[in-house]
Amino acid sequence: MLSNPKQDEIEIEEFHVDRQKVGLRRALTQIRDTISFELRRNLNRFLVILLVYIGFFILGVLIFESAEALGLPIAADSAEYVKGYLELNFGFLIVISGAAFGGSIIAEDYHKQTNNLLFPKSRKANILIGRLIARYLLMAACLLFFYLLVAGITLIKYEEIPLTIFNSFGWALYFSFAILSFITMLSSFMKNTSMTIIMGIMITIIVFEMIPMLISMSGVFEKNEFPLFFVLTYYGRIVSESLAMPNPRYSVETIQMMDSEPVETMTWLTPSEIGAFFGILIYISILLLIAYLRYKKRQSKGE
Amino acid sequence: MNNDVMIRFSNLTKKFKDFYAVSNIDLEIRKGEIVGFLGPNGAGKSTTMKMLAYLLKPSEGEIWIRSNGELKKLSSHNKDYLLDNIGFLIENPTFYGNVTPRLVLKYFAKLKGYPRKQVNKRVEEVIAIFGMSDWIDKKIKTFSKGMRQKIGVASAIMHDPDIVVLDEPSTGLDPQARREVRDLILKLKKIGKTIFLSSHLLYEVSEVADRVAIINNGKLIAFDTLDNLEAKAKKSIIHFELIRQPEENIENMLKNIEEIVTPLTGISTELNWVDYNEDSKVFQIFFNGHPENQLNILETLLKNRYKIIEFSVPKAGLLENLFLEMVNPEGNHDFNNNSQNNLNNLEKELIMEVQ
Repeated sequence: MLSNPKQDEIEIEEFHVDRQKVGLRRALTQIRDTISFELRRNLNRFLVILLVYIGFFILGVLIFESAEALGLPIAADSAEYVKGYLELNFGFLIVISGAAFGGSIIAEDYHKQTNNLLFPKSRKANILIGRLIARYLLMAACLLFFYLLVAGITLIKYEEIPLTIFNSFGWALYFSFAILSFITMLSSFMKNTSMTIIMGIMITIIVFEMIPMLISMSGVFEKNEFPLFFVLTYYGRIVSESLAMPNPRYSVETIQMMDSEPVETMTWLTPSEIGAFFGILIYISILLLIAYLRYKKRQSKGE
Repeated sequence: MNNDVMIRFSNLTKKFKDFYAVSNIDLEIRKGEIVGFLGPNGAGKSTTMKMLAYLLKPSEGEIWIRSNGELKKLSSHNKDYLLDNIGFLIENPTFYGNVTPRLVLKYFAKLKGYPRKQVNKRVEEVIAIFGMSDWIDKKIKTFSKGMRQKIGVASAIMHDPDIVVLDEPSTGLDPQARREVRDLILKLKKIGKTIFLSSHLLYEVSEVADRVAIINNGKLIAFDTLDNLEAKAKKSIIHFELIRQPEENIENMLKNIEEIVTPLTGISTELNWVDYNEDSKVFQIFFNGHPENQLNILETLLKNRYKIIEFSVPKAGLLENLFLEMVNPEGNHDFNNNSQNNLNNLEKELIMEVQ
């Protein structure tokens, strides 16, 4: 079945091939080809994630329409309506898509041993850059699609789209790259793609959310007077908050334990725009640097 | 002679914690030759190949590769440059399942800088060599292990390198596909490619290799041409079959054959042995390998009314035993104890000689 009757007639011709020389130009070509290959390779994954986005959007529509039908208070304006969708499940969607697109980015090479095929052909840095760009483009496409859906339904309901939706979309793109970088860093340490995805989701959704609580309980900062700049997911809050900036960045609550004096404590709601910009930038830089160094140092089976 | 060297391993060593996977390997591969790298599973073949591909860094020693006429030491600074002219197939290749051979081979060819305008034609040519043209646009996840292996070999030669490194290329292939890979290797040699081929199957290597390096427990225990290895052995094994299976007691027959051929084998009496394999129905006579002795033995057997229909000296025959003995001196083989003891004595001599 496999044999081609013509194969005996096929001879390997001897000819000289001028391959592109090794250097910067080759490196750029490798990155471009990796992007193109990864876009096609991840197409099915992209479609699945897109369906998840659609599913969550429909869920949001059902919740808001049901609330309206039950006579619960509805959003006062279009910006608040958009914010409702983003606060409902958008952070979770970014984490899910970041884990799905980034989970295999490095771990797969060692798990499936595709490294044996790839690494003799290209520098790891070129592969990593190409993969990151391709997967980020796919992730960005999912985000764009979701924003278009939300903008569409907002237009139907309020006959306008808030201009701040563009701010929000910009922050969503920026923050999602930070999530992708985090998952990529995790992937560089993990041996298995599935474990990377599970761990990535658990850490971002559970562990990061627990850090502020643990710090608050530990009493290190008496009034929680420092913003949560060290928590990656904290920066994600700007995605929805940017719809109505400037917002109060924190709220102050008074807590009184049984036999103690009442204590004022601060709850941080959102980073400032400048703080978020640099915070995310620092996060991305550190995470990608760790990922690259680990990827570069990591050797084949038998390491 | 030095100008011919394409790859040189110099004192190559790889240590994992306290375990030496590869130990002090010195090896040179010359232009246009096929070097077989032979050893049992876990001997250190793949580790050596991975160091050559820079997938693993050597703990000690050096790897030298010829590029643009100059032999250069492989390092992180020049690895792209030096490895550019080598095609690798390391271990069983795992491909991304949801892509087609066309897509993945195009990608690999482009990564290696193959002229973009010729890539499509090249992919189709290489796929045709393996008789897989009908499968070029099918998802790799639907392929058998053997088909994936073919794609792996194809990926190694996609960019038309001068040196091809194949690690167990026939693993998982059916006999037909093995023959195709073997023919392909010979075709590559014919057009001047240098090939470094690892295998744990002596037969596979002996069919194509100009020289054979035998590795065991990370150490190189022999490196020479097949003929020289046999010459070092100075002995060989005659295989013959009778027109009818022996009716009388096989022990008596073996005794009789041993009596009549012992003076003709050209080896000392204590090393003589004759054996019969009941599964293959093949008699084996150990002799000194000289064609004259071979002819005398045949004539004597015929004179003694042994109706022989098949009489040969397989090239891999002795070498196989030599290999098994070298890598597993205490292993059990198919021969009876007496023959085995004799062989053990001989192989001990050989190991000393080769080392």
